[in-house]
Amino acid sequence: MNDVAPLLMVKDLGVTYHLKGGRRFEALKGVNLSVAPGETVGLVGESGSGKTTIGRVILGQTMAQTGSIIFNGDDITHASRARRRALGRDIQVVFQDPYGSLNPVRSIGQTLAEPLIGEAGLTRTAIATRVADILQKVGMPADTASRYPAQFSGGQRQRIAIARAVIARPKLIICDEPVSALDLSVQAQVLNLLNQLQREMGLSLLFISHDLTVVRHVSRRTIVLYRGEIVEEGATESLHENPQHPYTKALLAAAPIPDPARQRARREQRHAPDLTPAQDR
Amino acid sequence: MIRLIVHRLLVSIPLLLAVTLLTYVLDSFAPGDVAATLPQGQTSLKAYMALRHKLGLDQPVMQQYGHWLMRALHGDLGTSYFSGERVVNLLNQRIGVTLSVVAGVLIVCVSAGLLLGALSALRGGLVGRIIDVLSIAGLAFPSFWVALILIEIFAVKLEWLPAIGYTSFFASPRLWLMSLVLPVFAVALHSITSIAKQTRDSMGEIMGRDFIRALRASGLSETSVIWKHGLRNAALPVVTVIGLVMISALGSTVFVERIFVLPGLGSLAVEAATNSDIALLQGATLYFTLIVIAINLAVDVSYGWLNPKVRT
Repeated sequence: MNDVAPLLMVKDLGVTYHLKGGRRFEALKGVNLSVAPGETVGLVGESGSGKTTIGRVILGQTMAQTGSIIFNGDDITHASRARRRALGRDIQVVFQDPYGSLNPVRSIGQTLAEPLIGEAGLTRTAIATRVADILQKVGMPADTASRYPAQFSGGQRQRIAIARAVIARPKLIICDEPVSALDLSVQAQVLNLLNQLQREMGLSLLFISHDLTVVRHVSRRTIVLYRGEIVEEGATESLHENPQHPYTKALLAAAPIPDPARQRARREQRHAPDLTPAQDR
Repeated sequence: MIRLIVHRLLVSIPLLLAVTLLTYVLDSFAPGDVAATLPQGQTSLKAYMALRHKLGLDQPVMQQYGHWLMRALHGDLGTSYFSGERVVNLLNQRIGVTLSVVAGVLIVCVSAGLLLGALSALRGGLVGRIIDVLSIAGLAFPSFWVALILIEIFAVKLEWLPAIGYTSFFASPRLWLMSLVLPVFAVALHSITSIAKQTRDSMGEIMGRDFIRALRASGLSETSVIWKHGLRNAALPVVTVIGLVMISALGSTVFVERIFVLPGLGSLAVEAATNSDIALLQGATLYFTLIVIAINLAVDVSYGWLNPKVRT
């Protein structure tokens, strides 16, 4: 933890989904986490562990039943619509699927300008300049603005989605599996881009992923989520070298190593303990 | 865009030829001919043969069609065998009625269909179930049956609207509108639900996409998210359905014009077919085909306008 006041604090967050037939699913149970200004926090866990729900609650797209979200000193757990609208400039998001995250019938320029609309005193030319600047920053050619999403590859679209997230100069970006849908070589490029933007713009990132090796590439601090609860939290390096919780060990063992001999040895010891609580078996 | 329009228009030329040729050939298969029904042909066999020759009915069908086509290309659709009036004049008197009905159906279907569809996608539940029931009912009850029920309720019982007849817009816009309400709804009820269903399905799919979440996250107002981003994307498949619905509505006007005694193209075509007034029937067929081509062209153009991918 840092000494500086955190930008984002999630306190004792609990979310329960009500399923059909009166069944309930506890997606999050008493989750506490914080992100300092300019810090990247990795959030790992398997699918269904609740990591995406945390992102949704911070964005106000899922309601918290218990606990609170403190952003920049303000409680935004039950922010009004107007407050949310203003928060949109400070908290942005990058999604997993680069094919679904851009409006296919609007040009890239229109999509990128969207977060800027309503910002006081911005003329059309000023918006165009901001769009051109940000495209250059994310390494896209200058004519991108007049083209449409269908004309770009997944990696390029993800760059555009990142451009949209940073154009309004937010304080926090929630990256929800931003590279999981991309090829390995493209993954590295996009991660490097995120790292670079984070340094240059002093952004805070909440980096959600199921892949520990990806998280290791971007964040110094990592939180491991399992069945809606935080099971381990600490410096990414020590988490890798010396995992404490059996689930973290299992997650680490699940990542393939690019060395057949070591991978084989790994496979033998992978029989991780069964973590399912007894009553659910 | 212009290339697209030109291309579509060129493609419709073979369609026009095929439809008119088929009507000509099919009509020649029908028993009896017009020379036997006209008074001049009924005096003697000699007069009958002379009339056949005069009308060109003694020539092979392909040759007759060829003659008709050559004249049609010069804008001459011939004269009606029965009334002796020029076919073009007869058709032009009638087309306004049919176009009024079709335009009314378009307005009612699109506004009601989009509204109901979007509503049920966003609110779900009850509206959606009502649409499901209505769309099955819409398929089960044909428009001529709906027309009779509407007459029974709104013209006979409630006496709000005229049961039959048509008033020209230029004579009285109010009566014109009143004479159109029942025919338009008789045709439209059938089609509103198919547009609503398509709107709901594609709207439901679009609203679940990540770009909608991203827009919401950046604080865009919900109205803007729904109408500017959601519906715009959802509209693509809906436009196709609207085109199909309009073409089938054009077919329904034939029945509905008969029931409401509207002097439109549909009732004219039915008269021409029963009289084997081939020149008139060909003319009506040509007009109907042109309307269908116009509808398809409008669909293509709006597709290009809505979807940047086809614009290039």
